[in-house]
This record gives sequence, structure tokens and C-alpha cells, in this order.
Amino acid sequence: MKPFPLRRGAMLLVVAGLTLTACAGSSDGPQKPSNTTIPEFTFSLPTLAKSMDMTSGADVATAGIPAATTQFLEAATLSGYKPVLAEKTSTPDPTTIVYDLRPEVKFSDGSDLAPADVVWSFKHAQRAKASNASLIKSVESVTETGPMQVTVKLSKPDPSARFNIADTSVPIMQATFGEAHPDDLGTPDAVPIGTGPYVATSVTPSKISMTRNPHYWGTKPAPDKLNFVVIGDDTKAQLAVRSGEVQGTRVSDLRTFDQWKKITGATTYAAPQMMMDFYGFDTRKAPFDDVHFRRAVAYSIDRKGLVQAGFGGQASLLQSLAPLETVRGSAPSAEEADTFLDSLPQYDLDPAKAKAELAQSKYATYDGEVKIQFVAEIPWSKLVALNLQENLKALGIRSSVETYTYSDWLDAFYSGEMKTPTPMFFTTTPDAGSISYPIDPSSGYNFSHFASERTDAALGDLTSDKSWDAAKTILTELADQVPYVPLFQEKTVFVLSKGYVYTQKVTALDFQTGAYLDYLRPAK
Amino acid sequence: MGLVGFIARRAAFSLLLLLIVSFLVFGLTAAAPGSQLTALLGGRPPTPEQVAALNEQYHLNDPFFQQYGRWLINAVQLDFGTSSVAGVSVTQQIGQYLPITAQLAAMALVLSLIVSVPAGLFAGIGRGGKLDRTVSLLTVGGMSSPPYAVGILLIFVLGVKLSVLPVYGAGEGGGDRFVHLILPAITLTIGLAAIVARQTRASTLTVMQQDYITFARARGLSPRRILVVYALRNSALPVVTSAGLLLISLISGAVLVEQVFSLPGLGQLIVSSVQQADLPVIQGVTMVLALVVILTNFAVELLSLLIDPRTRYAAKG
Amino acid sequence: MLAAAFVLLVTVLAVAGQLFTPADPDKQSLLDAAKGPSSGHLLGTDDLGRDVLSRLMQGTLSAVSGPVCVALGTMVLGTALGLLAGYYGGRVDALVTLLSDVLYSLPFMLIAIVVVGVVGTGYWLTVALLIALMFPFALRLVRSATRVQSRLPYVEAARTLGVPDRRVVTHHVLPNVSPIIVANILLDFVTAIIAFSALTFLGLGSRAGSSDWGTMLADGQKLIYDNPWMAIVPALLIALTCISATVLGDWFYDRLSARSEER
Repeated sequence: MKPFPLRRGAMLLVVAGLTLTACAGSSDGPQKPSNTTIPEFTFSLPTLAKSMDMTSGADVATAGIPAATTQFLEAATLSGYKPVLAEKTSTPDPTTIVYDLRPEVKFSDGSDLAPADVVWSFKHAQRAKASNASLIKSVESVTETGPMQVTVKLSKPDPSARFNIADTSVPIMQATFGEAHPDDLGTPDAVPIGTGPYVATSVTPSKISMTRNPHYWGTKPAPDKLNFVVIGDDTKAQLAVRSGEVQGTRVSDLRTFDQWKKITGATTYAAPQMMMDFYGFDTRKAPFDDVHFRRAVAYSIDRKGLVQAGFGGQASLLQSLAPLETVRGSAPSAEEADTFLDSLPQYDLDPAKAKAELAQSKYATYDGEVKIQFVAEIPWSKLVALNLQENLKALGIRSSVETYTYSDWLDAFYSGEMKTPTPMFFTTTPDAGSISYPIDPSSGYNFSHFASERTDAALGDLTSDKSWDAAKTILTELADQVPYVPLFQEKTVFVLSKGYVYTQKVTALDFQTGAYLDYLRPAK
Repeated sequence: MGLVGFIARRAAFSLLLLLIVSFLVFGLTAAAPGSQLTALLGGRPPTPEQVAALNEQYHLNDPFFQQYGRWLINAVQLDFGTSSVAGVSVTQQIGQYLPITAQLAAMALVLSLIVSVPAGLFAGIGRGGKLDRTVSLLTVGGMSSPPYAVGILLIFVLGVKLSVLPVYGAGEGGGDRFVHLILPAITLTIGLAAIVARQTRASTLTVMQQDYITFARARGLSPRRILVVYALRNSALPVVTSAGLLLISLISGAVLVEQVFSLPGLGQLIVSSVQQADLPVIQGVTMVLALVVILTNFAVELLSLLIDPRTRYAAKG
Repeated sequence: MLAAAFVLLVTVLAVAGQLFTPADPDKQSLLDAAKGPSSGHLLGTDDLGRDVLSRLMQGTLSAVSGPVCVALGTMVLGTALGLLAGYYGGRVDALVTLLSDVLYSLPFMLIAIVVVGVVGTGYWLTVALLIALMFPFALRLVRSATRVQSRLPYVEAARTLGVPDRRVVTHHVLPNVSPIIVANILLDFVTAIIAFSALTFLGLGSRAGSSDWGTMLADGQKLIYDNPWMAIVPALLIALTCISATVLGDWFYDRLSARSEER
């Protein structure tokens, strides 16, 4: 049995692929990094972290802020793990993770990192109110098993657990300080004490300022001082980058990508994200209980056109219901993964096929109204809904478009009252286990209520040594039965103003784990 | 005695208003029972234990009136609970966001009084003249332009084309903060000044028709003296009494202006809380703002009682 | 004059605009999304490659119909209760005043944001909400005007002559307070149009059931460097409609009150 189907060999190939395509366009040629420091660097984001304790209101969009002060045992990347506070991580069996802590790591107050801090941090991240508690619910116990060793026991094999611990779920904070602030940890008055390269000097709703942590154990990032400011939308963020008031930002609406590229001297960095965008059908409800009807709808979305209109070209098409990195991470080799993906049926806009499928369905003359949902805060979902509505009109199917706010959508999703079809967007992990989310009845994510004998049989194998076969079975069945229409895998785009460069592509994971600060350099 | 009774009646009335408002504000919870749980869960699929723990901790399953009573008792002590999203006490959050809104409102108020009181006064004195027509046209424009549209326009003209002023954020420290608030304050002033100017003009018109002005003119007093001694003083009263109205439009405007200029004030706090269904924050901010309005109205009533004896008679009668 | 002409133009667009659009307003062309003006698209295209001019024309009806309903609803409710309270005074007056005092002490826009944001209403419920929040202002106006009128000798006279109250109110008081009511309709229309577009601007448009110009402005603002007309034209349309309606409202008020003074 292979506990965590993240095959190192396959990973290396992915890394090579990434490096080759790193560094997207700059308007006046590539700038070379220099090794000097940056006196002050200001990063703008649409919102600031509501709490400096990442376990309170963790949010992938702002995680980079607390990540500058608190670190993780390991840093998850698209291609595996980088050791951070744990020097070595081993998984002797599917339900055990052993972390060997790095010696001589100091917190920003000068105290030493000890296993007790890690144990406390796990407990803190598992409390009912912790926002990511459900992601690490398989963690059964965390114990100190050596002078610098902590062992995590899982209640069942869970390949995603290690990833989630290394992602944003378990930031390591000083236990004594945390215990002294049970109620207000994370507020400006009680910023958690961490081991990161920076310490917060001031936290206000409009600006968070940081200086170097004098006790930092690792290689120092370039900025001496680091600020985060709020700029609500891309248009104003562009003004700020143009005027030089802000040196770095993350594009929040990819439709504005072309506008960013036009800024003189600024460089955009686009990298794939472990996220998938798709539309889901509730397969229990007419007319979506008919596979031909579902296919007809799937053939009525102009995916390729929407990559341009909805993301400024900064997204790739999902070939299956899993991000490319997940499929490659599950396969013995990247080639095998790619061959498999190319063999799957793809649903691009095709009125003729849509018509043919509709004719075969038992709803060939459907006179009901299809209610297409979209989420107001997710720009692409609106475009997909309107595009689908327009193309269904050509098929003779009446449809209406309904809006949800994100919080309404969550309500409807968890209460099982979601109408159909609806947009879905998941961040996921690069292991075969994550493929189960949309069809596993116990995951909380099976919106389609789709089940078949083949997928049921394969589900259990996803965490075993037959995981690649199981993944292939499930993805093939999903592509054939289309309970979900795979649409896009968005990219993360970072922008640096003139005078600054990233030495490598920065992914959303790098932002969440704080690695995005390590790659930052002043230009020569 | 009548006077004291009147003040007591008004105070009791203000309290009653507050109570009604608090009930309406809390009633929103009942209208959106699911969202509080979703907000507390932060967008992750819940485990049954988590749901149970949260229901228990936040008393989400208690009867409505029990929840309301508990909330009200805490609210009276200015404790509005903890934010579902940030896990921070709402009072603390309000304390963080309030200064910017207060500074913005104060700047806009001063600015609009400086601009619009003289404008309204002169327009009223020279009724029908060129100045009057210009002022009227400007007030119409100011009152009917959406504040966010004005803000976006100002950003593009003053911030982008001329780049003379910062266009987003609140800045730090006194001077920087002041510079950052100039554009937002101007945006807010445009709507506000229009209201004040209209009010001043209208009351000046009334004052100018009074017998004592005609009499003063006949006595040969200089126009300036008439203006300062009689018209300004007498037309100030209606402006003062409409302070509550001004405050309301100030708050409504600030919500939008803060959004346009990315200012972390109460307006932005409430809009983001609304988007995230963070009910404790929504309730807290709404209550605090309603409290400010009601207290202002009460203070204005007392003030006009002192300034204008006629209202005192009305109070007794 | 200009104002009247503009209001007329908007009215015509609202009624017939959809019939004369230069292009099909729903026709998408994803690869031509957010492009500037061209010969085929005078105001360029939006984020789905649809013709902005055609969409603006088509959207006029839904942009003004909600605010018109709000203005009319506010008028009916405000006038009825205002007449009642002003004419009868006493308990009715006290109750109605209390009601309006409650709503008067709440920042109107704030409440609209909170209710729409938390409860999530549709287009018509938002209309109802705006009416509920706005009618106290109309009520106060009508009430004080009615009080002035009902103390005048001719009302006393009519009462002594045994004319029924209802007739006194509708035939004597109402015509004399009507200038205020008419002028107020237009002002309420302006407030409503601003409120609708503000809700959309704050991202609550979906919950409020968006008025089309507001949605276009909110969408266009993000792509303002790609096709500025997408944001500027709806913003101008909203502002000009509001200004024209206000000017017209003032003019009506002056005209009608001058006439009633002559009488």
C-alpha cells in the first residue's frame, strides 16, 4: 500500500515544466534580479486579513499576510512539499505522519520552537471555531514523540491531510502567548507570535506594517519593511501600481489582465492554481436525470471563448473533473496522465452535437424552464450563465438566469436546496484522493448526487496502491455521464511594478505559505 | 415644570425609538437563520460536531425572544458579541473603523457649511438674480448626482489625469490622513452642500419677507448689517434643526464614498459584513449609527428649545 | 426646457427603445469582448461582446420602471396618511408621526443595504422596501401642508355647512397641497433611481434585482480602460435623468404653487 500517492518522480517532471514556462510578459523586456535588499515594499490586496491568526477567518485571498509572520511545518507546492519548520517529514503508514522539527528555530520574541508549540497549534487549529477545522478532521491525535519530534495520527487514511496541514490549516504559533489570549488571539492587540521572517508593527483596518523578525532562522527575504494595504478593485490598484505607491499586487478579476499588461515597466506573473471551475447538475431532478440532456447542455457552453472573455486568457480548459496537477500527481508519469486526458471526451461548444444529444433524450421537446444559477461575486459564472442561456435558446430550450450572492450560494449548497445547474469552484489538492470530493456522498461536496456502480467501487481504491486505475475509472465515468461540466482551471496572476522581479513563478500556494516573499528581488 | 416634562417626554420617546430600532435590527437574524451558521463556518463543509458546537456556543437554536433579550442586555452595555467572520469583538471592530468615518464626516460637514451657507444666503437675498439661478442649478446637480459616480469622476480627473491627490486608502498620521481624505470629503460634500444651500436659501427667503427686515431697510441700515445681524442669525435655526437630516444623508453618502475610495470606515465595514452575512457586525454597526442619529435629533430638539423661545411655548402648550 | 426634452427622450426610450436597437442586444461575440467603439458598435462592446448602445436602449425600461413605481407608491401612501394625519390630528396623527419618526431616525441608504443584503429580496420587494423607507418623508410634507390648509377659514366653513369630511379632504384640501405632492413625485423618482444604482454599485444588485443601467455601470467600471464608454454612458444617463427630473420637479412646484397663490 502506498499511503500518499504523491509520486516524487512525476512531481519532478511537473516542476521542470513549470520552470520552463515561468515569467510571463513584461512590456520592456525581462529585468534581472539583484541580491540587494528592498528598503520598503507595499503589497495591495482587495481586503486585508480579518485576523492575524490564520485559523480565524482563514481566507486564501489574504493568507499571505499572516503567512509573513507565522509559518507551517511544511509548505505545500503544486509539485509536493518544501520543508519549513519540519526538517523531515515521514509517513511510515497511511494513518501516521511524523514531523522532525528543525533545531534552533526561534520565535520572534526570542524563545525556542518546541514540540509543545506544535501540539498546541494543532489543538488550536482543531477547535470548533477554527475555519479550517473540517479540513483536518481526520487528525485524531498529535503527540510529542521525541525531543524535536511530533507524530500525527489519523483516524483513517486521508491523503489530503498532509497537504492541508501544509497549506493554511495549521500555522505554528507560540503556545504560551496563544494560551494567554484564548479570546483575542489574532486581533491587533494580540498578534500571534510566530517564526516567520517578519513581525507586525501595526495592524489597522487600512494597513498592516511589518519589519524584520530579528530572530528569523532562515534566509532573509529582500524587503526590510513590508506593508499591506487595501485597494478594493483592480482599476484603482492599477492606478496605485502606475503611480508607484504600491509595488506588488495580485489581480483579483482576471478580466482586467490586458489592462495590467499595459502598465509601463510592470511585470505580470501567471501560474496555475489548484482550483477548478465547473458547472454542476443535480442528477435527481428532471430534466437533468437524463444523460443526453446533460450532454446537450454541456455542448452549449463556449468554453474556449469564455477563457478569453472571462479570464483574459489566463485560464486553461479543464480536460477532466480534476486540475492537471492532480491528474499528473496521481499518474505514474506525466506522459501517461496526458495521454489519458487526451482520450477523454471533451464538451466544447457544438450546436450540432447538442441537437443530436437532445433528440436522443427523453426530454427532446422539453417545455419547462431551465434555471441557470450564477454567483454575483464570481465574474466567470455570470458569463457562463448568460452564454449558456443564449446557446440554449438556439436549441429551443427556455431558460432564465438567477443570481446568488456567495453567502446565499453557500447556504443553498450546504442545506441541499441548490437549484440546478449551478457554478462550482473548488480549491483542491494534487493527490488522487481529492478526485473523490465531487462524487463521494460523505465529502459534503457531492452536489450532483451522482452515483454509479463503477465509481462506487473505485472510490475506496483512491487511497490505495490502485489509485491511478481508480482515478482513471472515476474520471472516465464522470466524462461520460457529465454530472458536472468541467470548465476552467484559473491562473493566479501577480503583478510587480517597475524595479522589482520574481525569481520564479508565484502560485496561490506560494502566497498562502509565505514563499512569495522569498522569490521577491529588486531589479538590477 | 412643563419644560422638564417636555424634555423627559422627548427623552422617553428617544428611548422608545431606540428600542423599536433594536428590535427591527435584531429581527434580521430571524429573517436569515441559516446564514449565520454559514458565516461562522467560513465556507467549509461543516461537520455535525462543528454545527452542534456552534449552535450551542452562539445559542442559535434558542427561541427568538430569548436570543433578543440576551442580545439587548449585552447591547445596552455596548457589547454586540463577536464577529462571525473575524472572531473579534464587534465593539472593538467598530472602534477601529469609526475614526475614519467620523473624520470624513467632519471634514465634509465643515466643507459644505463653508461653501453652502454663504451661497444659500446670498442666493436667498438676491432672489431670482444670476447668482440665485446658478446656485439653484448647482444644488439640483449636487442633489441628484449619485455620489459614487461623482467619486469615480473625481478619481479620474484629479487622481489620474492630473495626479494631484491620492485616490485610495486613508493614509497614516494627521497630515497624510488629511490629504487622503480630501477627495472623498469633496465627493461627500457635493450632495451635502446642495441640501444645506437649499435649506439656507429657503429660510433666508422667509426671513427676508419678514416685517423686521423691511423695517430695518426702511431705517436705512446697511445691507451688510441686515445680512449679518438679522438674516444669518434667523435663517441659521432651520439649518440647525435639520442636523438630523444632514447626519442621515452624511451616513448614507459615507457608505458609498468609503467604498469608492477604499476607506476602511464604518460604511465599508457594514458593506463587507453584509456581503459575508456577518450578522453581529451588521447589528452592531446599525445600532451604533441609529444611536448617533437619535441622540443628535434629541440634542437638536433641546438646542432649538434654548435658541428659539417660540418652541418653548409650543412645548408648554 | 432641456430637462423636459431629456425626460421625454428617456420616456420614449423606455417605451420604444427596444424596438429600434441598432443590433440584437443579446447577441454575444465572446472574442470581441470589451472592445472600444467601432463602426458596428458605436459605444463598443461589453464583457460578452454585446453591443453597449443596444443594451443601454433596451435597459431603459427596467432602469426607470422600478423607480417610477417607487415614486408613485411613495406618493399614494404618503399622501393618504399625510392627509389623514394632518386633517384629523389627535391619535391618528400621533401614531402616524411615531411611525414616520422611527423611519426618520434611520439612515435610509444604510437600512436599504442591510435589509437587501441580509434578507435578499427581488426586484419588486426592493421596490416595496424603498417605498416603505421613503414615504415618511412624503408623509411629513403632506401632513404639515394639510395642517396649514385645514385650519384655514374655508375648511372651517365647509365643515360647518355639513360637507362630509371625505369631500372636504378630496375637493378642498387635496387640490391645495397637490403642488407639493407633484413636485415630490419627481424628487422621489430621483432618490429611487440613485438608491437602485447604489445597491448595484455595492454589489447587492443581484439581491435587489438589478436595474439595467446600474448593472452596466458596475460591470463597466472594472473594464474602464478597455472600453470607457461602458461605464461613462450609463453613469451620464443616470445623472442626467436625475438632474432633469429634479429640475422638472422644481419647475412644477413653482408653477403650481404660483397658480394656487393666485387663486
